[in-house]
Amino acid sequence: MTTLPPLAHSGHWILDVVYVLPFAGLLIWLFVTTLRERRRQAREGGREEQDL
Amino acid sequence: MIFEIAHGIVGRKDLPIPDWLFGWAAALVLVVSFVALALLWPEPRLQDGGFRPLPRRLSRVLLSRAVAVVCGAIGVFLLGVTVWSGLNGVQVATANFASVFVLVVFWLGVVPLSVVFGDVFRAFNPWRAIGRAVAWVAQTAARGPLPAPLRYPERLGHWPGVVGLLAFATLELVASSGDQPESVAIATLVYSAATFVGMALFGVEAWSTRAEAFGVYFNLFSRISPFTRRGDQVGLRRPLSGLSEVGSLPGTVPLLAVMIGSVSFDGIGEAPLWTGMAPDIAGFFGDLGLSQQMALEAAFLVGLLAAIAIVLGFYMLGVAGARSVGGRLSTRQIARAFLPSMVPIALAYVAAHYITELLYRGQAIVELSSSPLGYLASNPLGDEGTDLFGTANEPIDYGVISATAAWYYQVGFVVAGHVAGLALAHDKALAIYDEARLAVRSQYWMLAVMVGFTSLALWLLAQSNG
Repeated sequence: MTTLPPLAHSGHWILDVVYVLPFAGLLIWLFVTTLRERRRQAREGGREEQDL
Repeated sequence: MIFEIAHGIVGRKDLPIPDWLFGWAAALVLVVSFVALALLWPEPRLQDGGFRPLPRRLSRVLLSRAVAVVCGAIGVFLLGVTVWSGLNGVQVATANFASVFVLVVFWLGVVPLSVVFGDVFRAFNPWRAIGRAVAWVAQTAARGPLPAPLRYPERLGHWPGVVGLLAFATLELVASSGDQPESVAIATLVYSAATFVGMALFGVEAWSTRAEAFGVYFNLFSRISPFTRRGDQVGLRRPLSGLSEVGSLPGTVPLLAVMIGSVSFDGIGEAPLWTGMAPDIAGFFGDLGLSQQMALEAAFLVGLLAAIAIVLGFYMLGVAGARSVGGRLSTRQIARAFLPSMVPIALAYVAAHYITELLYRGQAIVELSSSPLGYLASNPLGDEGTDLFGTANEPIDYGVISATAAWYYQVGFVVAGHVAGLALAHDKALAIYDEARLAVRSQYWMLAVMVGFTSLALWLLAQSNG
């Protein structure tokens, strides 16, 4: 019995993955901007503490 | 009159670009719409849709007792024909009035009517009509007011509707003989009995508007309509504005998850992803001792519940993201606040997934109106047919919509529904957040939810039609 390597059928699932790309891109962008925003807030919070 | 029963009835062809590119284009339309909303829609406009009354004479006619009695009688008559034909007619889903009427004409056809004309099902609701008639007879016989029903528990909310819709989806998508006329008739009788018990306990109106699954389902779609009723007056409001109050009752979030999740599962049922997985799940249940048929049904039930859970999880992910931007709102408050935006999405899913089924299978009702039991001379199963209106041999016109046109309509429905959902979420955010900055940032997450649902919808359609 021989098994086909999964990549031989990549055409089937790769098209499915392509559908997800806009959503995945948006999610990554959201996570990055959320992280940046939190870091910025943390930095501003630290500065305010130093000022006090 | 035998034809393919799969919901994606037509295959797609002659598209100028790959179908996945439609998904990308739809996502781009959503992003552009999001930017346009942020720039051009600075104040809430849909929280109070306004009310412009139609001429009083028209309201008097539409809301008259005579019209209520006639509409109710039509609903009861159709309920009776459904049960009668289902129990006595030919047991072929495509050749019996019961299956075609309930699963196509009623379930799919009332949706566009509700979106255009408002809550028409309320007028034709046979259970409400019977409940009101029984109450009237009992009141007349008793020559006085009847004892007041129990107070409908607030915490029950739409939960009975969730159970009812889930049961209907299970009948349609899980039970191997769920679309058989006899199954449809028996399910109708069981549902009727449960509804009458609920009405007897909590009152006809309370049960019809909050708990009766189909009443709640069609009412949600009717809130998109510009037509509404206020007291004894029929009038116009801004389209979509009727949705601003959706979400106030417990159970509405799972109700919409069932609505979208069940359509998604119906779509994914034809995808290699599911057809490859289902035998393994069925095998697991088979190993537990279930028969082959029951194991397969158990697998489909798992699939249906998983689809609903994924939709629910997806929405709650967006809610958690919106919560993370700050503000004083709890997760539950945000989940309920943005829920109206899910109704146009549910509509988009239903319209896109079932348009071909409604347009093709729906035509069969012309033939079955003349021969509800399905015994036709043209039917290989028998020749004892009736031809009440001379339409018993009316053929299905498969040219009513081409495969390519259907695909463009489907994409259009998906995009329009999600843009409408985005507008509703934006409008609600402006109303509930103190700072405009937080309102816009919360919508980044709702945009992600909309793009995700759009991609899922178009992928499912590609699976069904491809």
